[in-house]
Amino acid sequence: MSVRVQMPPILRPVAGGERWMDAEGATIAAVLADLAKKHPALGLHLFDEHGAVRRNIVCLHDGQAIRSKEAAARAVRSGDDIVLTNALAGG
Amino acid sequence: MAVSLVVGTPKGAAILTSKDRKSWSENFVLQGWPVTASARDDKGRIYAAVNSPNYGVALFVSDDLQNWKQLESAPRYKPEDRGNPEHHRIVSQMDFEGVLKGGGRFVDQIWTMHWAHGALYAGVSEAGLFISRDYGASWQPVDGFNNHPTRDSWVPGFGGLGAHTILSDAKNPNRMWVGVSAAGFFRTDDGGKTWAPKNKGVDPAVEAAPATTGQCVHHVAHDPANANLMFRQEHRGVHRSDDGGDTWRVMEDGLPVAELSDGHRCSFGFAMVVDRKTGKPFVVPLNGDNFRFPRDGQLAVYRSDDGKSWAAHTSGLPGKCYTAILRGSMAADQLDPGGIYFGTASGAIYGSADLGESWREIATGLPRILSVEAYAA
Repeated sequence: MSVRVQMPPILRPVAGGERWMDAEGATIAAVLADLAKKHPALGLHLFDEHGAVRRNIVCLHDGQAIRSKEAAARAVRSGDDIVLTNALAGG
Repeated sequence: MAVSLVVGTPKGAAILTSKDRKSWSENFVLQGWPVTASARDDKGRIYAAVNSPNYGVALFVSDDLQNWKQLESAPRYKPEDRGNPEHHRIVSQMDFEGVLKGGGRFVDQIWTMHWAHGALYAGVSEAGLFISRDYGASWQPVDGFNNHPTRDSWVPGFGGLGAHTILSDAKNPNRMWVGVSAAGFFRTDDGGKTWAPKNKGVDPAVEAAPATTGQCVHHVAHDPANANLMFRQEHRGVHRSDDGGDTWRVMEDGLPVAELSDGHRCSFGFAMVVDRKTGKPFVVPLNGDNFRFPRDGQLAVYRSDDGKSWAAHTSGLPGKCYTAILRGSMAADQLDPGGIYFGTASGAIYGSADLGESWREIATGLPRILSVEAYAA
């Protein structure tokens, strides 16, 4: 599946500076893994040392907020847009 | 006499640069990243450590302090490493998904970096030591330290279980020291294979703590060329060692003494640095663990000229300062005469170009100052 991922501003300089990045994968976790493979520096920010999607990462997909634990089971379709963001905290 | 300061804050790094140590220019880089430590290698490149509760720990490197590139590797524990439950409890504020309940060990912050004998070291939280022999391209855990036989007895300090101090011996590449809050001070004499606690003469942080590894070391400073003379700011006072940490004795003559929460009286503080040309140590005492700001609000830097006693230097420093100076936020430029710099938890940087005799505010309005390093050109 070929999808687009919108990067949060702070991570864009780590992976070329683009707002939208193309990636492949059948699930959100697989899409993030594809990004990590193409951009190892970015991968440090997406996955922890246990190989899990970082705990506070949230992906917006099809009008739903997909939390890190749900990323491996969330299927995507070709042409989908995924917004990579994080849990809201602070004020 | 050109000097650059790399000032770490929760919102990026301030780069303060001066050609004469009087007039300073300021630039704010790595915006949005909490910057916790920096170091310089033998090629003059500067490394900056960042951490983010959302996006983890990483390292950036720069040749000119303006343009930064993230490295593709960072210190990371092995999946099988077991974490410290008390540390997890302290750092779990942002653990919305309960990941830490799984019991793993994670690198959640780089507290300090150190270049020595052709390698870059990182001291991290949850407490551990990592080494890179290829300028940060890859990192390996120092297993002799990270899996220390006493590790199960280590108790986190208020800021978690962190390895915040790394020191080296310029004449002996096999000898290094690491300080951990609140497990004390450790030394290796075999290149990192084994580490011995070096806390003799220093009281444990609390009575119930282990006598050999219950010390809450806040910072230790020395000259790597005269490595065995060490000064130590402990939760329980300021100490000196003349034998590389084998033994310690209290050295507080002239320092303000405060009552700690448990009734113990000593000179409390965090920041400490040594000027290598003169061998003189500097500390910034705070008024005990309950208050954590300078006594009566008078910001004062204390210097020891004889290695036995201390004297206050306040010229140019504010008399109404009710904030802390954190452990990593003091640095020396090692020029002659020595420049000393420190930052406050309320975002001010003070500098002295005359070994602390007089001070001036060289930056203000910054976020909380987490780290300061000084690099002479």
